[in-house]
Amino acid sequence: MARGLDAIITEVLAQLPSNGSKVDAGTLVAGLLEMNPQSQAAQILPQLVKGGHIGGAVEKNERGNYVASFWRLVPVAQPEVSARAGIPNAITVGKQ
Amino acid sequence: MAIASVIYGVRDGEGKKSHFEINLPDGLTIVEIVDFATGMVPLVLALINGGLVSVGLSVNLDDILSVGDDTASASSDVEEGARFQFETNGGYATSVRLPTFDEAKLVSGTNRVNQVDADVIAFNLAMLTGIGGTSPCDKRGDDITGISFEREDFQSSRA
Repeated sequence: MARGLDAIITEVLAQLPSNGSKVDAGTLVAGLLEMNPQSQAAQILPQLVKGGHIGGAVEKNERGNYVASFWRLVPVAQPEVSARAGIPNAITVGKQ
Repeated sequence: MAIASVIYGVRDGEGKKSHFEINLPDGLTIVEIVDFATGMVPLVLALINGGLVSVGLSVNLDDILSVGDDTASASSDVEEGARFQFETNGGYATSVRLPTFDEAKLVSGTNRVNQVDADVIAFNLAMLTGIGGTSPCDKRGDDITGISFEREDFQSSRA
């Protein structure tokens, strides 16, 4: 039975470095399959990138070959929103 | 840039189509080629009774190939390939068939492309997200957003 997208994303994120470095497709797939031999995560890696769930790109490696690399996306800080007024607290209103 | 061909499509009064092409030398930019193709339109229309219905561009990029890229395995066969079918943002299907697809990259005992193969992942990622910011689309210009299926595909050769 197909697992939910959230579970798949969680599985991929667990294998991605959190320090901003990248991991190549072969290493990531090996890790995913070792963690879960039935993993569907490896099969939909390009679609997870396209959906903005993880970072990924085809780039030249040090040997000059084009390979797929993946990385953890840095969450974009969201401004806090006032529940009462619906105004972002992070926005500073000019002096009155 | 390498040698380019501008291809003009002509339609007659009965709806039948034909085409002709004009070759251009290397060293031209895309902008220069488009300028030439545009300038040629009224000159051609002044000479023909039919209508111009399409203008295309074919650019020879053989120069980007490296030594050895043309080496074929003795067992390779253009009739044996794999079809990669994608879906676009608008829900349309578009596909790419790779002739002589390496059978080692199929899931053993099936006709399915192995989507956990690192080379397959790299190709799929390039088709979905592009290379260096340039991402493929379908003939409508619709962005490719997903993978529908990828499997072995047989097709007769032309020769």
